[in-house]
Amino acid sequence: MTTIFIRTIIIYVVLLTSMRLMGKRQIGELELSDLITTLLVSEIASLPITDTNIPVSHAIIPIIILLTFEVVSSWLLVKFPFIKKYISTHSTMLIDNGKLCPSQMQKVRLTATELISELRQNGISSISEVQYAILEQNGKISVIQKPEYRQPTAKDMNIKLSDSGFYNIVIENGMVNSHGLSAAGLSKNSLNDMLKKKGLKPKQIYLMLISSEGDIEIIKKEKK
Amino acid sequence: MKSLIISVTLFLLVALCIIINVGYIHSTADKIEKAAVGLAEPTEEKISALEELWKKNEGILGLSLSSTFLENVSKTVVSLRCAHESGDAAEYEKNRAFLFHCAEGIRGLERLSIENIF
Repeated sequence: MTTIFIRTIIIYVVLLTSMRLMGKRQIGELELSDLITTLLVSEIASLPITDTNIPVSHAIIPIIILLTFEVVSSWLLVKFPFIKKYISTHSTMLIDNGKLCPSQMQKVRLTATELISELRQNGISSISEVQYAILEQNGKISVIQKPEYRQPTAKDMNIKLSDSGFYNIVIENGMVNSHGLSAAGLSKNSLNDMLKKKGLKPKQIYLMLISSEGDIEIIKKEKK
Repeated sequence: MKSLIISVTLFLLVALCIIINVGYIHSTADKIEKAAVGLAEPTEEKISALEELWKKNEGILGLSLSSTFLENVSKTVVSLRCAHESGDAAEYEKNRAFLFHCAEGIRGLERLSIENIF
């Protein structure tokens, strides 16, 4: 039991570190190799947790190798884009300018029923509403509606809206977020001055947001 | 770039550990085989030396070999001792032969061969 307990912790730390090194693209599974790596890593990691016959190194070594391959391949893709055509798939246009492309659908082995189901999941009831439908590299279908079916924007209606900017988390659960603070262009002293004017301390605040326009939102902690 | 450097460094570290481990495993297997050859004429000293050798190397071998395999080798060493003390020559020879098999097994697990890969 103790062995399984310790092994689980070791494997968890190794996995967390590996996924952290692989980065956000791994979680998003942008490429085919990302999906393969995620599946393999999860399978490999679970083996020595449940089977004490298998040494922990038999999980750590493959995970590190997969991590390296993944990071190196994604770096090479960025550095040498021409490699992409050899190691990854490309997006496929299923509906091009309102016209369904049966030949492309056949290429990706997608039926009309499956396409319509995906459109429905995107809130679209008819193919006639769609201008473009693209099967992305990660297997998801992106849909762009025809202009007459799209929701009007403020620009279409000639309405001028104020830009609230980007909100940065400055305090979370009583703790100052230094990353958010520097993104908001503030120092700890200026934050303290701001809070002092409002008669507050960081420990009293559950969430504090500051936008790039200087707007502040504060949610205080509930009194116990 | 940072994650690339870290992952390549880890990879090279792992590769280095594997190379060192292969050398270590082959050397340990050779020592066990040599001890098994020497045990053709059993003495208390030789058997104790074998037990000492196994005790010293069991832990590190456990990093790359399965616990079942290690248990089998441990059992063989213990059985060899028991057979020697009880004077059972047939049992002793059987366990000595198995010791050769264990040494070959240890070596075989790290051998680069078609059988191992597939």
